[in-house]
Amino acid sequence: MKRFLDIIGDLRIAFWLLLAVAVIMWIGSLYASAEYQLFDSLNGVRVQDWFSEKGLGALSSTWWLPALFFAFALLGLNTAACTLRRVMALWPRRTDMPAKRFMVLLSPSIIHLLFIGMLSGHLLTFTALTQEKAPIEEGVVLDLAGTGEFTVKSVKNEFFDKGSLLADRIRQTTVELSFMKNGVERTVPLEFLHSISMNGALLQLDMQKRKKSGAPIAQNPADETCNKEHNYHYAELLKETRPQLYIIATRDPGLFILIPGFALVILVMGWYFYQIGFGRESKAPPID
Amino acid sequence: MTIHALLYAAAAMYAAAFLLHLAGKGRGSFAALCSGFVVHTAYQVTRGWIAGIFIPNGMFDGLFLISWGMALAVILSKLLSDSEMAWESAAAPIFLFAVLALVYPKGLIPPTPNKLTVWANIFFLTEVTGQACFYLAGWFAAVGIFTKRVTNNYHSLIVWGFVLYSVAQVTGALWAYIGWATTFRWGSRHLQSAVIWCYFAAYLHLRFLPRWGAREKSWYAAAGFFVVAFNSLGSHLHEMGFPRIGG
Repeated sequence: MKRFLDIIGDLRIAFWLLLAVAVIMWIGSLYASAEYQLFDSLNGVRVQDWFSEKGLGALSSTWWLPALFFAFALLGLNTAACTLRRVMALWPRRTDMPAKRFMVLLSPSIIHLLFIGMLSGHLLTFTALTQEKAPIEEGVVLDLAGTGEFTVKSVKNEFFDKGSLLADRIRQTTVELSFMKNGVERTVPLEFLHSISMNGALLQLDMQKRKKSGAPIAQNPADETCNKEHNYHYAELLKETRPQLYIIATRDPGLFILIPGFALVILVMGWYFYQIGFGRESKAPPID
Repeated sequence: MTIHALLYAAAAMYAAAFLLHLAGKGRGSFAALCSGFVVHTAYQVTRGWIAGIFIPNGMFDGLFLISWGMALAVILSKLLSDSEMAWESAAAPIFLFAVLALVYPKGLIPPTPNKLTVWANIFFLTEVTGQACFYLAGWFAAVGIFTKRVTNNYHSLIVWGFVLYSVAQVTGALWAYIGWATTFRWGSRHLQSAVIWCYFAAYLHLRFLPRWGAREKSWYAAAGFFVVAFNSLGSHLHEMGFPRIGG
């Protein structure tokens, strides 16, 4: 068992796997830029469905995706073995040192376990996500991703102050949704950045710019920006050309791992690096 | 006089800091760097009102923050580190990025409703300051290689950069989640951000690999300068064509 863990948990393998993952993602980013529409269609759908429907037909552009998942699988295995090996070496020594020192030594293992949790959470998101998106306007009745029927009662835009250079641009939109619960009509507001939960699905507001004729503008590859605002340039969102609003309904089991995992990994990592003086070699603990 | 005069003044002080460093005036160089940082900070704060109302997003616009973040990291390193290293030499890349900011469109990309959140501000602040630490580490590693005085003084910069960049990955994911219902999007921006994180995560493991000596680690850290540049500057350059206001 120890020999097995030593081989698959080797740190040299971890190093080269991390570099391999970086290289594959860099190659993938070039394909994602060159074929924006193809890879954008992967967002919001399960990766296995997308790959059998679109990926297999474009293998010359999508080959890196299975390679990436394979490399991540190996990295997860390597990290698990390495962590187990380290904890097995540390645990018998827990009474030989102060508890704080033991926790400092154990922290990298906890961070690595959280990293494995993050990988699992993302895998769950990519393979088990359900997402539906529909355009909305006042009066429309929808049933998305098992939310049950609800009606868009009203749509109200709030604009930036008249005196500013942003005057007449949308600051916030409030959509009132009504639905029946126990025979009683209920109304809830939905706004940008303020999602609501309906029958276990997460509802969020999204929008896309329109031409003056009212037709939505096809997504432009150039809109994949540093600001993650890939849908449209908001500079053009004036009162005269109101954007097309959408509601996105999402069921994502991976979030239950990812969201608490994010908080934990930052806390543990921050505490660990603080304890070792943020990389001063003399304060860094040995590997085992 | 527009507020952008402050950026020109800061760039001039960074240039002066480098020239004084070359002339062997260490204290003068550090004073010029600190002055440049103070003026640059004033500029970044003023950008919050560039639209005529206070919008914090203007303060955290990437390319304007890089040289500010680098100057801050150098000042803190000089004040807090035990090392006698010539930290002021970093005034050269700081000036280089300040020049990039000078030729960059200075207005504000009108913020979307999805961008008006503190998560976006924390994301940009930590992402850019993380990158600033990586750039500096690459610079000091390269200086060590070319002056044949290889040290590991840049190591703590990479650790700081990695922590900040990890916070950026988390806050960026949270922002994407509350804004777009997903923590990761299949697009070049997210993939390239992850490339940088993995590259420096790999670096942190080098310490445990005996075959990687100080010189090899320096080459790896120096190469990191280009890894960060190739995977981040593209989106900044791309945004040059975006409509802006108040510039």
